[in-house]
Amino acid sequence: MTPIQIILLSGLAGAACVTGARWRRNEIRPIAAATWILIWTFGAVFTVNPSWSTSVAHALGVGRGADLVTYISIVFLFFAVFRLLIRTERQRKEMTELVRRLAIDEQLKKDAEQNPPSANPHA
Amino acid sequence: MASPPCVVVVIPAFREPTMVGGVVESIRPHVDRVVVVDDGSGDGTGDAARRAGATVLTHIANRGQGASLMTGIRYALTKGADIILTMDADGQHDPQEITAMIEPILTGKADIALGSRFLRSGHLVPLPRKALLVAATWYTRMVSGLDLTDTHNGFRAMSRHAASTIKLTQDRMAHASEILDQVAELELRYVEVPVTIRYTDYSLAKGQRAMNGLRILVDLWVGKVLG
Repeated sequence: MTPIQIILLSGLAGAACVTGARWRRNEIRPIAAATWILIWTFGAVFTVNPSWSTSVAHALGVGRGADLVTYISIVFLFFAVFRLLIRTERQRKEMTELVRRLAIDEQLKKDAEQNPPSANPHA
Repeated sequence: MASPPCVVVVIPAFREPTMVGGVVESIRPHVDRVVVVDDGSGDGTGDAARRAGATVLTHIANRGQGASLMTGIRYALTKGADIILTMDADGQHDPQEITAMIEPILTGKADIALGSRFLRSGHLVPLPRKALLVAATWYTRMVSGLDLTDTHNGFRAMSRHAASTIKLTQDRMAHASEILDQVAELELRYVEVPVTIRYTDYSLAKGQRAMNGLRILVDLWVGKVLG
């Protein structure tokens, strides 16, 4: 086994452990955990047997296995960035709404203290 | 006899402890209420505005000018405002022009009055600022189709109907373009009113730069793509 294979396999094993731990803590759904474990497993298989990725690449019309891995990685990264952007945007809106409600509620409370509604409006 | 309309000014303020008090004092005689939204300044801006007689809403974290305006507008609507004006906290706008700004709303001529510095003849705008504003105006005309001369002017007046219909989602400076997009989409009646912008070293230092223009475009694009 070459040094780069050892490095890659160590990284993939670490990623699988983190995924498993997050699943056990209920931080990610089972389907998400299974998807990630599958991705790390594919990575490990192709790392141990690089010639397999070349066979798959040829079957898909790509010259080299390394090129196929690069193409898939780019598509995957774009998708991940897109999802992150949507999540960040949603959190920004929620944060603003929270800050806004706190500000307005606090002032309305002060207004009510300064001008308390009369217990008997006809008094 | 119908009661006079309740006129409220909303001022978003971020780190303006030296200016905001004077601005509030100069506006108060012209309106029923001045609402300052202290956008997480943490430097006494809110206290200065409160001492000058404003109602101060405090953002516990800085969320930007657009977010502050929306906070102030929503509060003003809760308090029964009939006409809501927006003005800057750095003293750029002339309170004497409030009457002219609200006149089209009072007469029912428009739902929203937009201040324009370029309709006042002899108005000197610093060249870098003018280039940025011309580019912004060109972009807004292209996107919204509104025939305007000044698209990033913070001096506005809107009816209760317009204020409750417009929903700002842009937290930062892109809100100025977003308001105009919504004016077009909601088919609100608009009119431009000539206003004076007082340029000082202070206001120019705090104002927009070319890089901010780029950031506004990115914010608008992200907002449109992600909804």
